[in-house]
Amino acid sequence: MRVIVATIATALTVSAVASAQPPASTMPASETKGFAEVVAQSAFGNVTSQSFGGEVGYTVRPNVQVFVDAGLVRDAAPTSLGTNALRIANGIAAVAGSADFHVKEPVTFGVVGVRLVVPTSYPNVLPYVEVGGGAAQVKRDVTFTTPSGDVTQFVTLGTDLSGSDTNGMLSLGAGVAVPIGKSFLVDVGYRYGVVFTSGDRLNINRAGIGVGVRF
Amino acid sequence: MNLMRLTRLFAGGALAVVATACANGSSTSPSGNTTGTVTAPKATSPAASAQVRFADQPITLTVQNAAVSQSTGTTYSFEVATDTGFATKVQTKDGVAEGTSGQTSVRLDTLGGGKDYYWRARATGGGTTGPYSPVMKFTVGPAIILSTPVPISPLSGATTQPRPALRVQNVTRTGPAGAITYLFEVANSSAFTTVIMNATKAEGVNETGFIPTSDLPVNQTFYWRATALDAANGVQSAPSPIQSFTTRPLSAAEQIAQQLGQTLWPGNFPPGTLGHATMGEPGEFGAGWQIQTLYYAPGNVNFQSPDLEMLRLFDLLDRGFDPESAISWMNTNGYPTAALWYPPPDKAVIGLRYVYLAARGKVFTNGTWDIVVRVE
Repeated sequence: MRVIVATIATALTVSAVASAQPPASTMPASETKGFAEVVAQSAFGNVTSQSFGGEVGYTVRPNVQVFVDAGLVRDAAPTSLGTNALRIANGIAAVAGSADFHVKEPVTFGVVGVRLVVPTSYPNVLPYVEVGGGAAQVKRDVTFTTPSGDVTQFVTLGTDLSGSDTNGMLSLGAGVAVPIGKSFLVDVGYRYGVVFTSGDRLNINRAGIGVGVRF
Repeated sequence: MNLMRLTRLFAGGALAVVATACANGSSTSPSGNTTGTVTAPKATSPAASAQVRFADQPITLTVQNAAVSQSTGTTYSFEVATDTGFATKVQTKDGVAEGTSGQTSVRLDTLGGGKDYYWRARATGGGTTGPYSPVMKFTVGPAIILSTPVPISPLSGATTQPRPALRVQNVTRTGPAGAITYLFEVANSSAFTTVIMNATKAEGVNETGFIPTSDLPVNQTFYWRATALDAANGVQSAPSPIQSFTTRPLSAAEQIAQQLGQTLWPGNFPPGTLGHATMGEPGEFGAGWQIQTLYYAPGNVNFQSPDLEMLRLFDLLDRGFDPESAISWMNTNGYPTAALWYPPPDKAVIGLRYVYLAARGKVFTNGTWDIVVRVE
């Protein structure tokens, strides 16, 4: 978190210095009205999974865009979820003879924020940093199975291993957008997100690529 | 672009969005802390289909602790019913604190005998009540009740020989009792803090007794009681009312009877004080009172001398009875005898089947008595 904040702060400084200088000869990327892209990412942290979504941005000032980022992280289960599930599985096995369990915590999120495009002397490379906030629904998807029949006769799930919560989310990101022709772009980026769950905060790291259009 | 304006726009706008998102956060589960997940505990004791003797109550139910994801303050509820559907619950124990050794137990109140019972338990922790454990069955055996043994003898205040026969009436029993035994205890105080002799005897016919295998110290007071036991069912009666007795030295006749392995006076005990007769030594006056086999020539019969009849007659003489009274007392107190008294001046003998008990010098009061084999 500290590293990411420092990175973004540095980027902001570079951006500010750059914006104080005379504009480059090429047309700034932010002079487009905006962009829309689909994103495929690798999500990593306690577990590694995939994330899919999309991002739309609209230029409100030169080099400043307002964006909306929404997507699904297939699994962001923290260590505590697996530890609790293992404890419960052992308890079921004590009564039922044996038990298996499967732990997954998908996160569906939506974030609105501001993207700052850092002007460079390379017209086909548009680095950026962004910060946004929104909400994320965290679903605790823990299942138990036993060969002794219906598992509900052996366990009552609490909300620590079932159900879902919707909480606030902060997202910080950085990346490089590469225009392809006049209408397309490729976006390689990293996003750090923190979901303010009722227990420990849930950290989600995403790194991936997006493909979209500029308009 | 102005650097400060740009920075304020960037940071302020984002933070406003986050703040809005946090403030509007909703949840499909209770807000704040989550609730825990709870498994069913595993019933461990009594074992499935256990047979529990009625006397072994109270029964303790034990479960292996449930797994609880939020494990502080977990409590258990136990239920006992007479049907598998728990429609007829006979006992419920709620709020039982979880045991620290991985198991949780609760002691039941006494259950009725001769019935099957079903029990289960469940845990509550982290705001969640878990499922019940699989139902287990146990059977409580029928109730067996033994009445209190009633002492026959010696009763309080009695004076006895050093090996008195302790006797009680057999107990009555309710239920399918097994073989009954009786624990006899002899102590030197009514508190029975020091039991100086005890024995377990199989039940006799109508009554059960115990004769000490060694002499108790004489001229001392002892206390005794008996308790009926059904070892197979783990049942015992209340102890009999405590009785006391005081030991006295054996008379000369009682000592010989004891050598013969017999009790001189198994029933009524004669009154009187010892010291009124002397046993004649073997020699010119008689055969003596040591245990021996004598020969009755007219009948060509060998016989043991002395026998109980001779000893009882002598013991009565020793206690101050005159010969006539001694014979009479025996016949009226359960010790029948065909003895005849031939008084002085012709004789001074008590005629028995093979011998005479002869008063030496025809002195039959405080005299010496000899055993003389009859010749006619």
